[in-house]
Amino acid sequence: MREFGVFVPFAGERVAAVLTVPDDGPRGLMVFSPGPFAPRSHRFQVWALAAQRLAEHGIASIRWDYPGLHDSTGSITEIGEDAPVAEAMAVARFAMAATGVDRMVAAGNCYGAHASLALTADLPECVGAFCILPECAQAGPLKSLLRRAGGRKVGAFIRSRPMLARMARPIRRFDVGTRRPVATSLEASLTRASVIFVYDEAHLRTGPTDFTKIEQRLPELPESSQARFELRVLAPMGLDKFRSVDVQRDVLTTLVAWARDRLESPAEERSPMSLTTNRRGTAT
Amino acid sequence: VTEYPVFIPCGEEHLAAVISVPDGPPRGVVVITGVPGGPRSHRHQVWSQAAERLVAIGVASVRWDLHGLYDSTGSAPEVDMRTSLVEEALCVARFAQRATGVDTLATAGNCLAAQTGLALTAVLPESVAAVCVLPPVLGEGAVRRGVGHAVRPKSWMGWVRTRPIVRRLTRTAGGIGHHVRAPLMQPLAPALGHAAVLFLYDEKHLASRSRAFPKVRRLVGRASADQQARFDLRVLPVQGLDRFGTVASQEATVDALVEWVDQWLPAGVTPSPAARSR
Repeated sequence: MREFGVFVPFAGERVAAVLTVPDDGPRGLMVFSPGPFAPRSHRFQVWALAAQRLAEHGIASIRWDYPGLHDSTGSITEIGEDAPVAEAMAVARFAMAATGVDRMVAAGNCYGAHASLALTADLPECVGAFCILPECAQAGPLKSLLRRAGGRKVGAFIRSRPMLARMARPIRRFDVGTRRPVATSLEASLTRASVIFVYDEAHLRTGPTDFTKIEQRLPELPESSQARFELRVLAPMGLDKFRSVDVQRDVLTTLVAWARDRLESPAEERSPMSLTTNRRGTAT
Repeated sequence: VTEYPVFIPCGEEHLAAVISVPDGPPRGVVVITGVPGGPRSHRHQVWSQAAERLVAIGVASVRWDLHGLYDSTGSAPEVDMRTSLVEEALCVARFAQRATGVDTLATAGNCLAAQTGLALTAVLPESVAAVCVLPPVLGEGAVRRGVGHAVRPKSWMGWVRTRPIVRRLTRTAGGIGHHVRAPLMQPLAPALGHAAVLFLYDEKHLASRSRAFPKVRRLVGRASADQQARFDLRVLPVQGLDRFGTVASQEATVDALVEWVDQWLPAGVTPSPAARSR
């Protein structure tokens, strides 16, 4: 295995990346996009270790930092809603040219999952997206209205009064919308590529990662698209920060097996919308 | 600014680093060490920005990750504050000297990296300056150490924390027998023998640091007048230096670093023997 530190030119900036290639010619490529708060190697070197494991199976990889973060040049004051698909595209094309492969998969967590999904939707060479804890939900119309009216003060006011907070809880549960960019990218990706959403039990049904809204939309998709989707629940908790060695190991094992499978087999042979778990999970 | 991402061989591992060089021949090279809590660019790109600012005054830099962390190879199940990683820092310094063609060095880092930079300066005569951001000065006091050994530390600390009066009493008793930590004390005198050392703090926790500062000053006071003139301990008028949590703390750190390096690095170029032979 060999690793090359590189700067990928993008819109006047330089995107910092590490390209990992196996000793023999690679048979595919994986593009790792991190969450915005972690460098490209990610917490506890999870992406760096994944790159090593993939190289052992003949798969090249590139991990990169968003412009304005870590070693990349540029400046960024806040992270927007839209996934950085143009940047991911530049990195993917650079890596494919450097390694000489024309078949790739994308992986990422949180914001990186959105980037991976958007990349899969837009890049024909991308045959799959491995998305860890994608944020599928967003504030519903009521919460959005309150935010527009009084900023975050209204929410803070309600939260600080236990009685009001208790009354607002059921409303909050129903006042959840689908995160449109994620839903759009997912539907576009599934027309020709495989997508796996990886969750832990703690994040599957709550907060911004709530999978429910996407789950409700999936049956509306064509059967061929449904067959390309997989939901995997890996652990009870701790996936958001790769908190334990167990979680890291589970992610790595799942990711490497999935990447090998995707880059080896062109055809999809799976029952519609398979839901699997390797522990006592809710999905079966 | 031209930047080169590199992997530096060190033992059986490869340390991930980025070398930044100015357009002309550099005046020297600053070795910036990463820490477990921040990669080599550090939080909010502070070290990347520092590299850019250093290039503007004609100084090259190399920022690097400890082995087993971030893009460096190897494994680090835990990082021990009791030892400075001088061997690794030496690998990086020698590589950077060869790559940039200059001998003159300076070091910079925060927390564990601050003591590593100081230790590197102590062993490298070519190092003319060290900038130490929040170096952990004091070790555990004798009372606290004794009690900590006698009972299980976590349960004891939990019990103390929940009782305000006991907490106040132990705060006083816990200060007895405080000493300057060996990883900081040992390299400080040799470093001051040939280099200028800057300790940087912010206004947070000044009360507890009021115990540390006199001890550091006493330590430096034992040195010769020349050496004392090369030492400075500054309290930046900012908060949040520990995580570079505010823009003010980021700017103040980079300003202080660039100013210190500019002051102590020779204005002319001192090419390394390898560069001279080329």
